[in-house]
Amino acid sequence: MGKLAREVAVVAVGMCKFGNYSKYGPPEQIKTSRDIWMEAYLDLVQHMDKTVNIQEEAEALFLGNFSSDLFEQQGHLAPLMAEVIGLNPKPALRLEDACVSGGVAFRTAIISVASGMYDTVIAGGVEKMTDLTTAGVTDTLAAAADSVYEFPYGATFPGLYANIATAHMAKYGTTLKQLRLVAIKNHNNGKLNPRAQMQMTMEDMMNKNIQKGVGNWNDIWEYLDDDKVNPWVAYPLRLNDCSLVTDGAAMAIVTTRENAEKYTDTPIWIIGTGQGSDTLALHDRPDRTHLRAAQTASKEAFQMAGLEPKDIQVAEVHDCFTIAEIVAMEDVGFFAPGEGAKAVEEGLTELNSQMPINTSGGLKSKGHPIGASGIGQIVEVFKQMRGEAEGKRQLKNIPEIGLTHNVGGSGGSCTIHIFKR
Amino acid sequence: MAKKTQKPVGKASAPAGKAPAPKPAEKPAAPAVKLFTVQSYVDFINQKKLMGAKCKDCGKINLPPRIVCSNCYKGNLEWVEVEGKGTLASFSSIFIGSSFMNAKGYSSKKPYVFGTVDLDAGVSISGHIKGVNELDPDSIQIGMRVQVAYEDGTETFIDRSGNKSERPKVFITFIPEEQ
Repeated sequence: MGKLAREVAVVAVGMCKFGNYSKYGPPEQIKTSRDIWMEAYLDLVQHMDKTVNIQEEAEALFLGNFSSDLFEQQGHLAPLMAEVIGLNPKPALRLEDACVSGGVAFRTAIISVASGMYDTVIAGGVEKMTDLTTAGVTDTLAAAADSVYEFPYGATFPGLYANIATAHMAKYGTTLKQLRLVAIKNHNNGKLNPRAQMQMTMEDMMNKNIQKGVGNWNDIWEYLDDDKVNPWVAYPLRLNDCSLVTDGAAMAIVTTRENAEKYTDTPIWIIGTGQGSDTLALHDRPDRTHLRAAQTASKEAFQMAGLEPKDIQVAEVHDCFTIAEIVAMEDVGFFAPGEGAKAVEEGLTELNSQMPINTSGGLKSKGHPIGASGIGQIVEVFKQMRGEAEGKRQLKNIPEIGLTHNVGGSGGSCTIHIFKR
Repeated sequence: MAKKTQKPVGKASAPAGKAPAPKPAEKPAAPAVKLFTVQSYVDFINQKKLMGAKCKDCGKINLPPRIVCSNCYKGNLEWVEVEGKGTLASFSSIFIGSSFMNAKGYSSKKPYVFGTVDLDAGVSISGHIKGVNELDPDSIQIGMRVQVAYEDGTETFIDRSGNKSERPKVFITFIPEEQ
């Protein structure tokens, strides 16, 4: 098992407001990947504790991006993103591991600093997803699945996670209601996050639809069972079990102990990093209820940190679908296999409860710009651990230890990071 | 490869004083054993056969076939036909399908079931599950017995010039096992 050869810290973070900046929308709202990437940069600069010349200090850019090629017809993204924030001619490289592209960019940045190769680097992520048709987005995401042995038989990403869900339901008795509760919680949190794509609770959405005359429902459960407003995407997942299609960018400055104080008096230390891989095809995994890549990454990260899951006080986990959050919590070890869904039902994962999960609103409410999501998670944990989360989203007991869990595809790859104040 | 067998075009004969044009080389005989490639797997499916590569060293059946055994990572394999019977391990009734399935006529009103199947041969594959009630997923049971059913269809082929054509293709589907 690995260890970091020298201490590494995150000293500044930034993100754009995650959202829908589609070319199909009003012209004044259209934004490309470079536009939102520069917004993330400005957010970072504006919130830095001390003034530092990033163009002088940063030695390389590690950029997470899944598929600008298919989403935007733009390859070769890293030098372009380096250019617009003034990093040329320094090295810039793009890392792609589907939805964990941001996570692997961050991990690679850490390794580059820990090794002594660089002292200060930028780890970022960007994805511009909203310029394709729904079918185009579905197909592009499906490229992260096995294109030969899954896709021709009808696989979609919701469909693959729905397979994990039916397997989990059959094995552990996980219920549809428990799945829906994950989304309800994450929207409650996302409402409090000014950078979330959907700053609404599920109840807000219901009330909005009542006002618009779409229908009438006695409670949120009736609303969530109504095909008209919450249609099936892939049984047992409905629309509101799925994360959003999002344009977003986020970045973090990663540096050494010696350099950290140039940026801030309160760095956040990276004390554990783990990564795992697995077969791309879900069918090739003996256990379809859990992700071996995540279990492997978790083991490595906790071993490096010398901690146990019970030590974590805040976590952002990869809730690309509601079932994914339940599986994630079990893979990391917050709850035993089969206990994750019950924990959600008991409210143990809400804000200011035993194990706050996805205080940002998660991918469900904050949004899921594929290659930026892993860095977006780090932005949230960084803020929570420094007491800087906006408004009521800030945990009352400022967490000292935090964790991020970022998954690629249906579990073909995963990174986990553990942070300490 | 093609150059050798190509006949000269637009020339009456070989120039005098030089050796006569070589006779068209004999076509190489079709290989007796298909390569363990993705294409071979697809070709066999088009012949309505589910073929895997069995490792001569460790006995592992690799399905789909591959040139390197997925258990011992040696390259000593032979073709075996796999019986397409097994149990449904996971499934989803998909209402928002891929464009590929939409083109086959599926939609939110006509969903299709995609699942993973653990074959009795000890390997697993994904498949389109037919013969079940897609609109009532609660009626579909994990653990139910299924068997391969080959479905004749077509796939769109686009040549280098961009011309589209439809060519026949056999798709693997699964149906509930016949008693």
